[in-house]
Amino acid sequence: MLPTWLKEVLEILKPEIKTTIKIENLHVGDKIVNVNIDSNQTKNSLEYKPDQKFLTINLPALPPEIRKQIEPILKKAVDVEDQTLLEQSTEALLEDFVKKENLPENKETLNFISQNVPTDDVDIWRKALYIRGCFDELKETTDEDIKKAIGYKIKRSKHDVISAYGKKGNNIANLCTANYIKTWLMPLYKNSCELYPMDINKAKESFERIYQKITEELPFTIFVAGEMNKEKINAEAKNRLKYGMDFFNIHGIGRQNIKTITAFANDIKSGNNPIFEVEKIDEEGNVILLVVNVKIDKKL
Amino acid sequence: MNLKLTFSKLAKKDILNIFDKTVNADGCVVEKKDPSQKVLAIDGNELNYDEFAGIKKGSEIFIKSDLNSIVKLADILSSR
Repeated sequence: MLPTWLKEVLEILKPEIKTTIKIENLHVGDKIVNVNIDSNQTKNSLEYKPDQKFLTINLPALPPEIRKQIEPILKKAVDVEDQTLLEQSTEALLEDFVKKENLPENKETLNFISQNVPTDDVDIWRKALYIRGCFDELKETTDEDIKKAIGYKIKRSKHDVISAYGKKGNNIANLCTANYIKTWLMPLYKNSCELYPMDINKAKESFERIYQKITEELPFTIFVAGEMNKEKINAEAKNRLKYGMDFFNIHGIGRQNIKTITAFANDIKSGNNPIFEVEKIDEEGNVILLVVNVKIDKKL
Repeated sequence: MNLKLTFSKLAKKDILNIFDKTVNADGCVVEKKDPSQKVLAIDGNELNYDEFAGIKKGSEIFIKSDLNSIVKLADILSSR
């Protein structure tokens, strides 16, 4: 059923509908799912795409007396009838976010996050999951234009997370893309519960200490970004020796980062690195994980 | 299916006008009747024209185009 505001708009637009898009009964049945307001001097006052049930109302091309009647109704639609009004690309982003968040494969992760991660970080992880969803989408498409659009979506979303949450936001976004919730955080939480089986609060405190360390300082993880070279990776890894870990995970996405990480691994394999040894390299598609061990005599 | 009401980027200024808002010399969205009164976005910060991306009821919540605002809006809409 059409909302009241749209019924009023279609009533006022009846003569325009008849002359411009030549449809008699647009107000009847399920013929409109999206009304878009445009302001384009070169187009007609109305445009209707029946396959998408998409009606465009082009304000400057309307007869002035009709425009004068329509505009207050649009205001009323939002203020009184609780209609949300969004710019087209923002509506698409909202829809995309809700769709990805409700994917069945995210249910377990979201439950874990909402129950076990500090409250202040929950929204960061939700946004990180969205970014990961975009990466998954990227893997599944071969169309170059669509890939470009998704790439832009990822870049923009990451920028939004970093601008709101700084270094921790960046870390969480990367940790999430690298699936650390399932491979590290869930097992660590389980471990904490096993350490303190009779005291859930102590278990949660123990987990939270580890969680904060991982998300704020990345004690055993390096995410290689565009500007890093193998020397920088080595420096980052050396800097993390203070945490006393005996291994590091080095992650990279994209051809250039894969090249850089491979060069670092090759340096180690050829004996040029006194501190580390290669445990394994997993390369799949556009993603690489290099695991290096710290040589026994170099551990702190 | 919920009806969607959207606007194109070209219609931004017209939409602001419908809601009695305008843009000042600094590019901030302000009240037409009182340009000293800046419009705040859903995140509580001033709203730049470039960032303006929508309006929701509830003392007219102005939406920005970033992921952070979208998540807030998604939560408001799902709690309806």
